[in-house]
Amino acid sequence: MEPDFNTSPQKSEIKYPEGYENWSMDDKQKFEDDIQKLESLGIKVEIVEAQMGLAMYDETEKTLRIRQDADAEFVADYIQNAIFKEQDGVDQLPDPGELEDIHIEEDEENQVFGGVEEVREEINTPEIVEIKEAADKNGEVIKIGDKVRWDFYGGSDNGEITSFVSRGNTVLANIYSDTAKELEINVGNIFLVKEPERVEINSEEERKDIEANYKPEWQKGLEWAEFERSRAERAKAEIANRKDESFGSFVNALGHGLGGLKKGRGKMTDSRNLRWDTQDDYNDQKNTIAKRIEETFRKNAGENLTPEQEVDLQSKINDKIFEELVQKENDAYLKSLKEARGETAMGKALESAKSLLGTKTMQWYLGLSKKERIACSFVIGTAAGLTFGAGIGALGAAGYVGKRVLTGAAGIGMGELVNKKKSWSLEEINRLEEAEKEELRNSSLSLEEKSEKELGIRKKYKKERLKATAWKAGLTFTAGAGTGFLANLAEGTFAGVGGGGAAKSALESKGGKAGGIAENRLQRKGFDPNQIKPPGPRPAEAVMPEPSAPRPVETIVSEKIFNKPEILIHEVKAGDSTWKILKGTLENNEQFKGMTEAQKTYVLSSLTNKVLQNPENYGLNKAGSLNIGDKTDFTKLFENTKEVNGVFAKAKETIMEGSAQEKSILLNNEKIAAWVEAHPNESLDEGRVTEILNSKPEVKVAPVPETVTEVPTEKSVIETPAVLEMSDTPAPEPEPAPQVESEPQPEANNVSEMLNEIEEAKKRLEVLEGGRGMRSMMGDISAEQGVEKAFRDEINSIYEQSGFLGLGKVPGINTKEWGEMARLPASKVVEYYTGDSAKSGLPNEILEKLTKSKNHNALMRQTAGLMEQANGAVKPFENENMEQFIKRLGGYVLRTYSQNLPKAA
Amino acid sequence: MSDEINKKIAKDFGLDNMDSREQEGMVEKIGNLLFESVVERAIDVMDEEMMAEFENTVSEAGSDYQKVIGFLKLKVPGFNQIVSEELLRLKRATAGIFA
Repeated sequence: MEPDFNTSPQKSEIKYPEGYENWSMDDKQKFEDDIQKLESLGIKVEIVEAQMGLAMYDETEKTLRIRQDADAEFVADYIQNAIFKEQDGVDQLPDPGELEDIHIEEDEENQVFGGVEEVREEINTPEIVEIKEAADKNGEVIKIGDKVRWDFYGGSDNGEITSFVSRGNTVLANIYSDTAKELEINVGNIFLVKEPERVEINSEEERKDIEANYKPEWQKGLEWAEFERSRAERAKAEIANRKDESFGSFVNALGHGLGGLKKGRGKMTDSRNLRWDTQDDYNDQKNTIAKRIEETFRKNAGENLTPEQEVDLQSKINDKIFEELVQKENDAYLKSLKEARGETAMGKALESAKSLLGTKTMQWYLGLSKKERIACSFVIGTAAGLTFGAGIGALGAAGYVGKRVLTGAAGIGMGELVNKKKSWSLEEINRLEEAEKEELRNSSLSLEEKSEKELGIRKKYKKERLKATAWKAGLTFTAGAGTGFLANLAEGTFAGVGGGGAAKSALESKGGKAGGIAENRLQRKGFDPNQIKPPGPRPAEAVMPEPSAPRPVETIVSEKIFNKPEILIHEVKAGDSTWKILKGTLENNEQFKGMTEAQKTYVLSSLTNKVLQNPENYGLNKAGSLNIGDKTDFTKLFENTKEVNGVFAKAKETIMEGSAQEKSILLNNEKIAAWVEAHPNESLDEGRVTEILNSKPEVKVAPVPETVTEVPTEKSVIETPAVLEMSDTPAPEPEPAPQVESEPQPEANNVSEMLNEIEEAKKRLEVLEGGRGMRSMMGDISAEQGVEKAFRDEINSIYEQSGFLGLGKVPGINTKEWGEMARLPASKVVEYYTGDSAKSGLPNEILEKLTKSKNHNALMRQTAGLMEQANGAVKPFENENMEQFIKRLGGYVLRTYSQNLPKAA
Repeated sequence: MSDEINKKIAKDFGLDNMDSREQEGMVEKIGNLLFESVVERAIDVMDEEMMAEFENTVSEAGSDYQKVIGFLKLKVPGFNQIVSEELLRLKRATAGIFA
């Protein structure tokens, strides 16, 4: 029976309770029928945070309230017993047009509905079944292949019903749009708002005429038809070929209509050939179509175009080529992918569920800001290392170390890290900045435009300087780890793309619409934007504050740190250094004054580093050196009181008296001091500092005097080129590996200050060298904290338990499952996973858990990846449990790569 | 720096001849296609339990896309392989066709 398109069925709408979107799929399925029935009875359902009972029905308000933490089965029973039984006999007839009123004719194609009641069989089972057609209460039959008009929020589309399934009274229909934008709508599922509204469609002949007239030039003729056929076949081949590769069989490929392709090529013995053998022909076709598109556009544009018009035309041509050749190819591929699902044994229910999940995920994706979408896709892209042309590394240690690194370096694009390689020196950045400014100066832009652009350049390179320092750890990692592993460091990096990476630049591109996404494939209505949490603070942006952009000095702000702003300005004298000047300045702050030596060292180290990132902002020369007579001005350094107070707070929080961090800092200071005392005539260079800090415990460490007996004089302070330029002439550009000047060392009357000077020299070298071979105290501190944090994050991400209705989550670290794993002997667990599982010696009960637990397996994949990164240098100790081992392993990998000096743990 | 990255990506995807503004737009579009196809592939290999977990993750993610990607990376077997294949496929799709 041909459907009567002149009559639109009643529209129906299911109103699901607020909070329903947070239910698990299982729970949704359990309640779907009940909710529909409640709807039909006029009963409202609400999810509430708190109430006495798990589920309570308010008869006067006709509202069922379900507590968020309610047990699904209890609620189901409650609905059955407390509501439906009560309602027996008073059930209302469903409203016309409700989905419940869609009667289903199961597997009876072309059934003629002579008498509605006689031939319809209402399906009440909650099982999902595939059906051929459905009908609403008006007797209008909806069949597969029917053309329907679909209204959605803000628009409408025509579509063709491609399949039906039903779950109870709910009909799910998959619809693909006529516009080839593969509108996919699931009728009657949880997102449904309206059932299809059928519209009059012209006769097949009329429709063809209209289509023919509408077709653009490149779509007319056999060429396009051939190309479309090739595209569809190729899309199927792609899917089939993948299965083939996965399972080592051609069965799937044969089942996907590849006969023609195979016959034509005649050499399909290697499945990999399938893709490439057909590639050339297909590419030829694509190129031909691309040419047709260009010809059409050029013909319509006319001749004698201005350069601007030519650029605009080129852009339009490329947009159309993308739409016609890339996007449609992708659409065909996705369609084949989904169709292939239907050919598996997964069943229609699961297939539909997958389709729904894909739709929901894309809805979520489109709900992201443009910036987030770009970042999202790029983080995914870099996961395989391919975007930037690198090889595809194996996914190894995953986020464990990466997360740590990012705790100190978020906000910088991963791509830059991968791509940047050696161009990390400040000199190089300065050079690039100058080159860009020069180019700008020579441009034909107006003064105003130049001024604006120059500001942008300055900001950009200011950030680059920060990155050059902040990513030291990442750099050494680049050198030492595979791309795949490195890519895992990218977690979160694109969230803060303020650094000006591709994401940022793409953000600034025209238009705000999600380019390339056929948004109309997604349901406009039925998807509640409120399901998506409102964007909060960008995760990675919050991790590390971006350096403040240049702005007018706000003396009043600085006064919050210092009562007398004038102390921030200092004329450089012999013996001065950045460290010394800062220390002297900070001693005017009560908070700093009250800190321990190690805490002060932390603060000074942090602030010195910041100064060295943009030395010219503070009166230093661009190499970060000082000249006698220079005036330093640290007003800008302290204008962000929040940031400075954050450093103070961090020092106090993390460098506790007697803590490992304090010991580490003091030990480093002592080591350097001892060395300087023991080698008064030797220079202190990068290699030496590394050697000192990595010296074995047997190195004799001279005690540090507890009190300073003499006020340091100018002569008493160690002077190094890195600290102070004893010249009025501008400092030369530093050499790649600057040596600390080997002047005879004067007696160090103030050892503590001397240590600071040395530490500054060390920091200075570190900055200039991009961190090669150097371990800073800051690094030590952040490494230790980072390892712990990364460890917890990793365990949480693996073992986290989500509660009912999305609530009552248990962090992974607190789960019983992790608790069990944490205490297991690491040597045996590692043996089980990496060696002979039968010889692990673990009890059967434990073995069973290890075998079955996906979480344990995920953890061990991460652990194995880390062990690989450690080149086998870290193995479990005899009495070490898993928690201890993983922390030690993670710490080792982190340290090793941050130093780029492999050594045994 | 952004230019450097864009140029590299542009080269990979055959967008060399476009101006930077146009390249940026294309890169965005390609990123969208990549995300969609990767998600569909990932869902393809999920069992029901993982699907439910993933749905919850998406529902609760808000703007925290790292949570979603983190889930995919962690839970989906062969996720990197999927990404690699999809990237290569898109590179083939865009190679040599633009004006």
